[in-house]
Amino acid sequence: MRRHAPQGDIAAGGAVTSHFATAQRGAVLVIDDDADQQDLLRVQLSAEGYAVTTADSAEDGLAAIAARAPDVVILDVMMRGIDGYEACRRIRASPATLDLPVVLVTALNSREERVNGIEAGADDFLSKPVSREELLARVNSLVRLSFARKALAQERLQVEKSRTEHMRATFERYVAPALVQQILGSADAGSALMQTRRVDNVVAMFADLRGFTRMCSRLDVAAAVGILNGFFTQVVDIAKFYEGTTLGMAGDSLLVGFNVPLRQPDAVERAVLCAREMLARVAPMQAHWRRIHAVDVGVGVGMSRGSAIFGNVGAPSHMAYTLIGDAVNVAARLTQLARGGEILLSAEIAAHAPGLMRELRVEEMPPVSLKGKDRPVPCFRLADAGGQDLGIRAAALAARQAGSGAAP
Amino acid sequence: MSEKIRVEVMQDLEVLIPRYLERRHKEIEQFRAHLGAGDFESLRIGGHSLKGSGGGYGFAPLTKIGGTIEIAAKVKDTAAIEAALAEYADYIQRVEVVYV
Repeated sequence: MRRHAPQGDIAAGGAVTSHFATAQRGAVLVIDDDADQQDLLRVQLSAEGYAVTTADSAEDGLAAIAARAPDVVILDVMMRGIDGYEACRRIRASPATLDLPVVLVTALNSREERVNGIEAGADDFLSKPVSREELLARVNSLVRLSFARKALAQERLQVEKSRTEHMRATFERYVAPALVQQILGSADAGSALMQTRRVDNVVAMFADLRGFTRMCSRLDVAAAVGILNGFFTQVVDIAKFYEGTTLGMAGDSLLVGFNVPLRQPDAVERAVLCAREMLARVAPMQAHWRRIHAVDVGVGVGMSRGSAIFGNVGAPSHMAYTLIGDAVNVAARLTQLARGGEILLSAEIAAHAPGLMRELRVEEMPPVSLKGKDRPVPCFRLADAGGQDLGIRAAALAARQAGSGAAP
Repeated sequence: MSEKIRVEVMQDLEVLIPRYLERRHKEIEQFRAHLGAGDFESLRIGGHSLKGSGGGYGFAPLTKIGGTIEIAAKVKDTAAIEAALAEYADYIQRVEVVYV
């Protein structure tokens, strides 16, 4: 393969300027094993300002295209080795060059060669001997087409990039940035984030600032909002660390989902460790609020596990990215029963990770009556709820490294 | 001496024409050798190539001569090839290029 400056055999000293000029005009690759034919096309195209590259065989030409696709390929049909038809088929077979304009150079008025060329995917034809006017007209037209396609592809890329950025910005409000990055990089990013669907083994967890509503009437607005903002900033940050999805804030309560939108085989472990860390980190803040505002509040957590509907739900004018189902209801009811500094678990949670539950000393409580349930349901409590040991994050990181995978 | 055949060729092909005509001189000898050896396949390929290039360079008769050689080689028509080669040699001998 050779690259040629415009004006054919121009000296190397003049090549830089000429190359710049021809880059605007278009790049043409001539693939022909006939030196006379190759020379002729090269000189005629270079004289018009095209940047011309030549290849002596289809094999060399295909390698040149793979390295850097030109704007137009002029391809002789009859060549030793791979012929023009096969080369054209290979160009079309590659996703990177499936719309690269190809002109096949055929024998004069050979209907059969043209039919074969169309079947191989050629865009246009030139007959030998090649007329200069026809050559330039066809190349000019196809270079324009190539430029238009590239501009369109660029525009599409920009639109796709903007869409991805919008999705990233939107979903980073709910999901840990690393998780959003992982989802956006996957082939089914759209369905993982956007599709509303039923998901099994979801862990729903509420963290509620117990006692706050009662104290709220005693506080001025700035103090109440300051406490809430401090609480939510801390717990949302912790939820994101454990790659939980923040699905809602209502009053002084936060709903976090695990195993959504991506599968998390260790969802229960994540949720339990997340809840413990919330309690541990909010504890110093509670002391501060008690000292400054004379309010006695604490974080109460309830969580359950089961099937739930996950995604965008609501009116066309107001959608919420949320979780709906029995697991969410049970978690909400348990949270209402939890006192400050207490983590209450459903039976589905307690039974799921026996090792961790033993380690954190899960205690069975008397069955509790929950609104919407016909009979009392089993309830469990983490005795070691607010441990501040440094192992919390280490364990969480180990769990994280175990990996989360595809959408559940 | 036979009369020259004047052919007008565009200026920008001047860098190619001397080499092109030199190749034709050699090719006539190659074609004669192929004919002597009964290598009609090489004559067919060579004739096809000449047919494709001649007119593009401005030498339309070479396209016609190349086509004749290609067709004659397919049917192994020695007499037709000899006649075409004579015409080829005569043309190359007499052609005179003027760049415009």
